[in-house]
Amino acid sequence: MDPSTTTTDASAIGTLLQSWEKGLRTLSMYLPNNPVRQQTIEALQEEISGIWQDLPDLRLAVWETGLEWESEIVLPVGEKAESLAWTLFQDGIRWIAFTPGVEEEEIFTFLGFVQRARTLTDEDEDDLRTLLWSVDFQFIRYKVAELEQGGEEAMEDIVATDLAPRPTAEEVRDAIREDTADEDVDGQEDTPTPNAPVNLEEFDSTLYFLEKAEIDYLKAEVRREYEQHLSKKVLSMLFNIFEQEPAEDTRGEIISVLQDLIPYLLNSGDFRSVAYVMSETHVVFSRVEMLKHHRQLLAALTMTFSSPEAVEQLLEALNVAMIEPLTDEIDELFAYLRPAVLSTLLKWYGRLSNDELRLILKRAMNRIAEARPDVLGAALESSERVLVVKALELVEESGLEGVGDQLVGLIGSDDVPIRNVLVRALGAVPTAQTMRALVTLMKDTDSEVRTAAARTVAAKRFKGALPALEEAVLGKGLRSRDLTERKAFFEAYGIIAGDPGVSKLEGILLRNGFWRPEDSDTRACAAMALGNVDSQSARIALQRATKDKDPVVRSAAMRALRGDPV
Amino acid sequence: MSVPTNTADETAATEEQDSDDTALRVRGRAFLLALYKAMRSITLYPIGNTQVTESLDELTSTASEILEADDGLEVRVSYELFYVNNTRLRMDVENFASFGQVLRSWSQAGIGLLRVDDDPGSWEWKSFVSELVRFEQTADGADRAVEFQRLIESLGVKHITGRSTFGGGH
Repeated sequence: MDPSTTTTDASAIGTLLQSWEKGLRTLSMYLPNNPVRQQTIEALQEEISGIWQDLPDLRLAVWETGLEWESEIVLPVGEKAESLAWTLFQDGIRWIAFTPGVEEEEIFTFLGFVQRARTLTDEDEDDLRTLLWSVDFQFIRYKVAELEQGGEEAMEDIVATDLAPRPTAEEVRDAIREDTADEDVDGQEDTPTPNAPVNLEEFDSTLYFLEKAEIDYLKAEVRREYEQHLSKKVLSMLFNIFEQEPAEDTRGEIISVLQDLIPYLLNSGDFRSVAYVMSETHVVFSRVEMLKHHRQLLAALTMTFSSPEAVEQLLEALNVAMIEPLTDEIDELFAYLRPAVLSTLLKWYGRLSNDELRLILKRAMNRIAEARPDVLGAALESSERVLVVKALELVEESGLEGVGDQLVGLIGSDDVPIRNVLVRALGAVPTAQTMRALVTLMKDTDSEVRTAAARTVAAKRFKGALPALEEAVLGKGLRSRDLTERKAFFEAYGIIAGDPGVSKLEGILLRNGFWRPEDSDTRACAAMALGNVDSQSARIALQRATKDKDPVVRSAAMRALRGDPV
Repeated sequence: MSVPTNTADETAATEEQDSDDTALRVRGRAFLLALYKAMRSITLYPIGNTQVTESLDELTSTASEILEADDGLEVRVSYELFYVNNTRLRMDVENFASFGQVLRSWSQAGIGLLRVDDDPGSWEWKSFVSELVRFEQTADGADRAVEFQRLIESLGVKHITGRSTFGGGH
């Protein structure tokens, strides 16, 4: 289109350029997220778009006095510090042209550079020309003062050629090939012609021709490239495609690829990527509409990963250190295990020889058991003995609550080792319910269980155990049991009964006459129990016993007074 | 233009082929898992232990099943994939560790191709697996597979051949 035939006049161009100058100020004042800045950008875009209806491009000559369009100054230089024309002229720009499309983005980059150029000092290495050069503008062309060879007329020539379409990459390559072919035909040429392709010998090709900063930059980029988590990026792309491509075949293929990839990622120890698949699958589940069978396949993907067989494979590989991922990677992956896998983890916990792995596994089991006590409860109710024992040990070690009913239910177990671990587990979760269960276990058929239960209620100072303890201490049954059990019961009685129990214990301690005398061991146990009662009456009773004829009783009383263990 | 359709015979042949492949995959997977179990039990227990005996019996039995059904047993490794008689076995989350361990031991011994002729019997399998789990290359630069093969042949193994994939002509 010939500019002379357009309906746009110089005043309209002047107005447009003035708005650019105003826009410059606004853009420099407001942050990118500011609505005023956004409004300015939209207004500028609208104004520029308007002129393309009449003009094929906007060509401006830059003079010391202002910007010239069609031989007319349309934006005179006013206040130099704020003049667009002056900034361009000062930095050597002598001609500039804008073409449609510039309003999309480039005009704002250009105005940003103009604003930045104004703030540069002589110490800065940059100026407007270098800033403009750093960006390969597609819709802005300009000429600088050094290129002027023949005044205005020459400039017009340059303008004409410069706005001609750029040669394509293929055209450039063809031209180089032709030039090279010519050179080959002409024979060896020592002096390159001005049109010859780039001669590398003209450049410094020594080892250190790059600046240190450039070498550092290259090294950093290479390092960054190699440090990238490639598999995660690939997986991310797969999930993106899954979200964006609703085609059944595409999604089906992606699911199939994921199914194939997971075992290989696991085998190579890339647990972080598998965890990523699990997390992204959850995301896709919640936000993507998909076919029912795709949903089922994705669900199966996460379900299979938590299957006992899969978890066993995983633990076996980790245990024998076939694969050695980082601890936090394993933690991250285990977080995606389904609660139902707790049984498998419990069974494996005892078999693991790798201490670090045991710790990780314990964390995972605790996490599941805390979140889902019902799953732990199911393990406690299992018919598999090893599973019950491991579940009890987990309760004992971690003090997990919410499984009181299942623990109490195990009181009737006919497996003595299970009842032994049960006592410890009950003690680890001290509630009224578990303490009452311990009182019941004080009457267990097994001596070891009874002893452990008595010691546990003593340690927890459970007052509710007092009647049962008193019955045992004063009754005949305890007298026939082994010394360890007797000691445990007397000690527990002393601790829980306190001063009110002194008279009863004193009666046992000092019963040495002809009428139903107590045996030495039982009297010594009573002395030990009195040693656990911190009262004056208990000390008086013990002092009397220090003069007893029975050396066992005498010794026990003295030790109790000293606070020594019996 | 008419769309070509399979004839009934072609369809039946395809289905039969699929069915054969599926059966071979099942047998191939059982063989590799049995090999893994044998490797593990020989590593953990003394040779005379019941666990070892049972695992070797299982290995012998799974190998025999393939030999009978397919007239041969050839297991090839390519890019961490197992091919049993040219049928690819799929690694999944329920066998990745077992397959991975077998892959590692084969790699250690330089084996890319395992060929089983006739029925080696439990004794040959025991020698093969025992050497496989403890094989360490001795001669620098020597072909590990060749070295391993010499070793098991010296023990009397005649029906099991381990080769590197290059040496095996694949």
